[in-house]
Amino acid sequence: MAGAVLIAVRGVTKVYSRGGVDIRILDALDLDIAAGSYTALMGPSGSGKTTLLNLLGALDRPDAGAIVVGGEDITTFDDGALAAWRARTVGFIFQLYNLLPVLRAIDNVALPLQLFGLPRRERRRRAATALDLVGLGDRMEHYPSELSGGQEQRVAIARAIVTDPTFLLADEPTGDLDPTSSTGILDLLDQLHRDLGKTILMVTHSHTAAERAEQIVHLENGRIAPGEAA
Amino acid sequence: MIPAGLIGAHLRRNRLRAALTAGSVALAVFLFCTLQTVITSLQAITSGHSANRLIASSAVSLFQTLPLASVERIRSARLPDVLEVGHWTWFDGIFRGDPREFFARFAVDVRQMRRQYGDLAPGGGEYLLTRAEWDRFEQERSACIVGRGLADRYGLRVGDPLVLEGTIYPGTFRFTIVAVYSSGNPTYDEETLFFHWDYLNEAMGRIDTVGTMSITIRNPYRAAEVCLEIDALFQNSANRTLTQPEAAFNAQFLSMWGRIDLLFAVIGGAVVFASFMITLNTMLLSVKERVREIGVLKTLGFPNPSLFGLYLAESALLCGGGAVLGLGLAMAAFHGQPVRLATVIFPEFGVAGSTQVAALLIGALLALISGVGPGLVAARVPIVKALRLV
Repeated sequence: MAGAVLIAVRGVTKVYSRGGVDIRILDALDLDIAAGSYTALMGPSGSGKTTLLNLLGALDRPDAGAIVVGGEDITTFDDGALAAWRARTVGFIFQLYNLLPVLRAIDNVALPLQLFGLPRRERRRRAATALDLVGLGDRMEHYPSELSGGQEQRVAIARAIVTDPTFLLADEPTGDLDPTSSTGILDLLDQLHRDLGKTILMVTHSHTAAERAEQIVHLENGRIAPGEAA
Repeated sequence: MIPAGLIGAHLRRNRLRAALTAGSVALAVFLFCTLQTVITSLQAITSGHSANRLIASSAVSLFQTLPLASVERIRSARLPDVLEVGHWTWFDGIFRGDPREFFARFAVDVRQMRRQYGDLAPGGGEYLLTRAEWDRFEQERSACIVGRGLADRYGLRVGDPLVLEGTIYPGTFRFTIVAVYSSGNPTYDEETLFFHWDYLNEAMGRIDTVGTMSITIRNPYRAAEVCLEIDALFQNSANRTLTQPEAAFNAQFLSMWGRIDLLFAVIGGAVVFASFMITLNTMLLSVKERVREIGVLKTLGFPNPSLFGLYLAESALLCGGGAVLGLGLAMAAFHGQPVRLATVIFPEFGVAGSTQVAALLIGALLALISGVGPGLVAARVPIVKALRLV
């Protein structure tokens, strides 16, 4: 299923200052992600997995290096351009779902469509389609507090795919779920990859989850672990 | 693009807090309007008087009477700018046996009052009665007239007897209401009773004293000179006068209140500032509580100006809604009806246009100041920090 390189990470370095000490979270990292691939990113805590995910999703900027997505080096974008790029290119799935508690499920899913200038009726129609796809067609009018953890994560996945982004970034998507719900979410990600051809990059500590991916990349001390293909 | 639906959703989620915040703004604006209305009403009292009239009172004290001969002295001087000279005497007294039933009562030279303030005055005068009513008032010694507001307040009608117990002037004074006047000038209230000075003077055994003299002049631009000319007539007498334009005379009563305008402005400012602190605190709390939501919105692609606009819009809704509510309450409470505060009667106690504009500007300013800070915080917070992903 994997095709040409969609995301090319070149010499990316990220340094955080903690208590006056500089910590090199990512150290001149190189990585290619192919279009249509399903990649699991593993590694011990502090190895830089989430930081890499943040950089790939343009939630943060690297201190050095380039991140080229579809031929565009996103590290050169200003804040406004990055926001617009995120809206049309990336779908985010978080461990803690990050739904807005004041909005119903359908309104949470329809929220990013506001950035595309669609009328409200069309936004709700698309959001309903996305919720149907994740199996929550009967819970559209529920608030997040009225849903289980697994259902909340499904709403979050619906929100991530409703704009038909180029790729999905999932940060421990099953980290806060029971085994049954976890399986359901992993099945759903499989379905998105298999049926819709979505490129997925998933950070996980779970070997069970990682085994669903086509390739597993291990990070250690801010670099690809020895033996991994860059 | 401000995230649609979020503003209303958040206000609905925290109904009590939103209501209390908007309520604090409403209360502040209501108090501001109330205090400002007192100030503008005070100013209106001094601004609406005829420039063609002067008031001469005793130079010793406003409460010191003048001999009736003073009136004749001015008339006989034949000053070229003086057209009419009348006199008013403050009666005080007790109505219906209750000293708290306060309204102004004046003994006047009715014939002169009619020529200076009535139907025979140039331009029609301030106290509106028909010619027949003026005739009757002028002809009946025990007649009195009352203002429309006074008549409404006590249910007084033409033909009713009215009794006052004298305080400054001892005795029981019985009148018949022959007419109810309305005011042709908002500066002149409809809360006063007028009766014949002759009646009072006879009852007192012809003491021949008056309170103040009202002098109509030909040219308002010569008012200052005429004041000096009149005062010069009494310079070496035992009853020296202080003559001043009618507006300045009335301003004396306001000066008894001291710098009430400054006091009210300070109180109003303090109230508005307290409301600002409450609103700002609410908005900052809101940012703190919703920092993760800010991160999510940014992650989804909402740019920083959207987040700034979101908080500004919320602040505008809270403060704007509160300001409109406060102004509405003030306008409902004070819609131009007469009000008495201490010794001053405000013929038209209503929220002035300038006060309405100021109240709305305060709302806008509160919204701006309370919204800009939190909006900037929301716009500037890094996404990873907001999501607590670091």
